[in-house]
Amino acid sequence: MAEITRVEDFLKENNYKREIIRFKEDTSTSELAAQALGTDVARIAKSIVFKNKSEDFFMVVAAGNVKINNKAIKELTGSKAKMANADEVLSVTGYSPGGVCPFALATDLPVYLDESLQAYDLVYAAAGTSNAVLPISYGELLDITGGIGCRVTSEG
Amino acid sequence: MGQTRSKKPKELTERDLLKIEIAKELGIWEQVEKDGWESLSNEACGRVGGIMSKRLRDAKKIT
Repeated sequence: MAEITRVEDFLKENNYKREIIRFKEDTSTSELAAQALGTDVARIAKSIVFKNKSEDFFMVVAAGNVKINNKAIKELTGSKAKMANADEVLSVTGYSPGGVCPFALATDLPVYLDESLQAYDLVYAAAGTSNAVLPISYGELLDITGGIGCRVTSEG
Repeated sequence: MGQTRSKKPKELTERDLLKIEIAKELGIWEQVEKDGWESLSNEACGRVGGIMSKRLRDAKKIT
């Protein structure tokens, strides 16, 4: 629960009026979150942590219906990268997998926002735990994460 | 038709300013100003993001 408080505090400090939506059911995957919200999986913003060859971590945020393009990821960071494991995700973000919020992170890792997030006015990002989501726009995500727009996915 | 009020330019955050500073150093700021951040290649995006998070980490070490 501390993670949700961390996200709420970050929203308040940065003057974002968005409200976290909490569920009884599990929202830890894009499909489960879409189901709980009764919306399309393309409106779920999945936050994925990667680690490249030089052990640098970075995060890609993309729509739930698209596939990450490994070649594009390699272009992005200059070397092959693989998804971080659960312990690594927890240590660099402060969230467990399934509840990774793309801001209020435990460390300053680069955040890249894929253009697939622009398909809808509002998308839903995980809000720190595996049963809480946050409605947010692409523009707000860019601002609040200090992230950079990119193109690293292809249709699912 | 009433005159449309010009939208107040978005207030630049510290991170925005850092992104702009890095883009200028990399010589890609003109492109960003003209065509937006989305026009950057993935390589350029990666460079800006990597430098930015390194600077943020280093800044935290100093304070």
